[in-house]
Amino acid sequence: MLEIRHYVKLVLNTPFHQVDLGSLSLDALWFDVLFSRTKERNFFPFSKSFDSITNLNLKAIHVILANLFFDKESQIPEFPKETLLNYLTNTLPILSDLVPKFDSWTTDSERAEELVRNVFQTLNLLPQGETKEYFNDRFRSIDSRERTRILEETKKAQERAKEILRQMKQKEEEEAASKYNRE
Amino acid sequence: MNKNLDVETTPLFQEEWETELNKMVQSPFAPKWNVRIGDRIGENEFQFVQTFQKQLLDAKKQGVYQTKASIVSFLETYRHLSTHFSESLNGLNLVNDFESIPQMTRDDLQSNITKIIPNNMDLSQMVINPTSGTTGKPILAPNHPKAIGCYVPLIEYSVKRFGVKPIHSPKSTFAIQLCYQEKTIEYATCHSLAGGAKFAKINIHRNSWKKESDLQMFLSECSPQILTGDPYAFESAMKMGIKYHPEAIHSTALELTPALRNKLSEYFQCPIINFYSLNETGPIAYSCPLDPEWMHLLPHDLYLEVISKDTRTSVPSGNVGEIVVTGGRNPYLPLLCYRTGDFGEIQYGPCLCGDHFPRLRLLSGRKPVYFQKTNGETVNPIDVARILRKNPYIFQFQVEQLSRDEWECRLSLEKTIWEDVTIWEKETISIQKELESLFGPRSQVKLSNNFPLDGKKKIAFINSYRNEETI
Repeated sequence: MLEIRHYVKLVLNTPFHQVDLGSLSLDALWFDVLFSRTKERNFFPFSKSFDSITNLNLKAIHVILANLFFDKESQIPEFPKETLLNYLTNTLPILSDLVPKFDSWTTDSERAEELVRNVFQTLNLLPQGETKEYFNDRFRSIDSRERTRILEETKKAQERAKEILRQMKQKEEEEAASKYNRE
Repeated sequence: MNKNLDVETTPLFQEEWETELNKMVQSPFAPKWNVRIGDRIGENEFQFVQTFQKQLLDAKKQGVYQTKASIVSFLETYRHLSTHFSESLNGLNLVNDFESIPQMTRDDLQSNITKIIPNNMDLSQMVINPTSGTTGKPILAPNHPKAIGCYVPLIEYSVKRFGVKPIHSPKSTFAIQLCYQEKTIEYATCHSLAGGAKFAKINIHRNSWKKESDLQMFLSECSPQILTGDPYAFESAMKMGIKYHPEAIHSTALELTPALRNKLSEYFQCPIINFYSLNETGPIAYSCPLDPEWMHLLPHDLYLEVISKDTRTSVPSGNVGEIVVTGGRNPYLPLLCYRTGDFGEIQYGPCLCGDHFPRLRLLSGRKPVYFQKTNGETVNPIDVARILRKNPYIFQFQVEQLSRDEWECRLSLEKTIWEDVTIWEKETISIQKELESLFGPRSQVKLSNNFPLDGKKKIAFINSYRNEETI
């Protein structure tokens, strides 16, 4: 494995100018990637075809990852293909929803790093010079899903705060409880 | 008038209370009642207060008050319930790092109340008791009927120390609270925690009575065991020549000067109990029967410290500093090193009076300020506060009487308002008009918006025209 910055750079430099997203066949693309990366030859056809995907944003993230894994110089060791295919089927649509513009992944280096770490974590790959702990720590801090969770919690807290203030205002106008003295 | 009490406002009320209360409410001498208020004590609240009272009496008997060591379990509980607590106590060891806990201020109560209120608290039982705002912007301290209910055993404990035995019967009137204001709420009710004993809040201002002699007749007819109120109300009652001798006078809300205390004691021929209580903390201390300059810490569940102005840490006995409290029983407002804004000193050790809880000497409480109308009559600053408080744009204020007919009113305002000249001009005119009508013909009120809002307790009322006069 290389250092994380090499993979981030690969994502940032995804050659979208060579891609026509509309006509692209994701199945063909992943076939080429996996064919060049593995000695196994029995991975095709995929358990679930990707060609039915019409969401261009989601398709674009496929392209970014395919580009990342295709490059032989990237020194990414062999990994279980099913895990990657599961990841593409289950996790990518979520990321695509969270970050609705695919070029965020290729223009913002933190998002690029998030995408790399996200897929590496699933495949259990560790960039050079990192411990598992460091990897996870860094990933948590830039993970969009984690950020969304925190945002949602904050939103919940804000809603509760709003409710408290509303109740306080209402209760101020209501009748109080009698007490013998005043303050 | 409909029934005075019902299960909505007084869940534990009984038929015979209504009969007795009716006599008070319908007395030909009664003031013009304007609200109906119950104690909101249900079965759960009743049990809570009973337990609290038992703990209070046991603690007093054994001289066991709250300390830095014993408050830890309270901190542990709220550390997980209140966001303010968890943020303030983050990374701290409660036993060793107590001094490092950030202190809660009035500003926190005004701006961060939603973080202080424990998460997942049911808000339906919340009660807001409006304060008269004698120190500027009041704190809308959320409270629970059960915590307000605890005022009963605390006040009863303090009066018993002065030889008053509260009679728990609907035939008895335990207390009448006196106010002297142009306008205030007035009501009569029964307290479930005192066996249905009656209580009334009345305004002794002539505005409230059909005939001037009615007040005197009403007091004699109800014959309350004690009178409660602030020094201003008692002084007004004395000046009005009211003849009534209660078993004790219970004075709160403002500083009671020794001179006024002696005058009141002589005039009403009864002990004067000075009571230190804040809306946000509940009762804190009552004056020692043997030495009225000192006040004993009253509740057993409140940890009280005096902190240095410079180091913000606890100072030993004999040093003056700010009074800081932690703990309490208000489930909506747990206090974490709350800086009261009041200054004093604390002394530990047994007391000859028999209450061995720490003693507190307040340095300077909230001094009563008397404004004078252009025609010479006095104006209760609370009436000034009432006008300013109802304006939602005003956060804090200070009103100063400069001469016989000149006032300055300094305000801290919501930013959007003073930035919008049109709205502000309209507001200015209406506030000025209202204050000038209160102060009387030819009075002039100058308004400014340069009063800083910094959460500190500031003097709200100053009378530089008459401040050479003392009571």
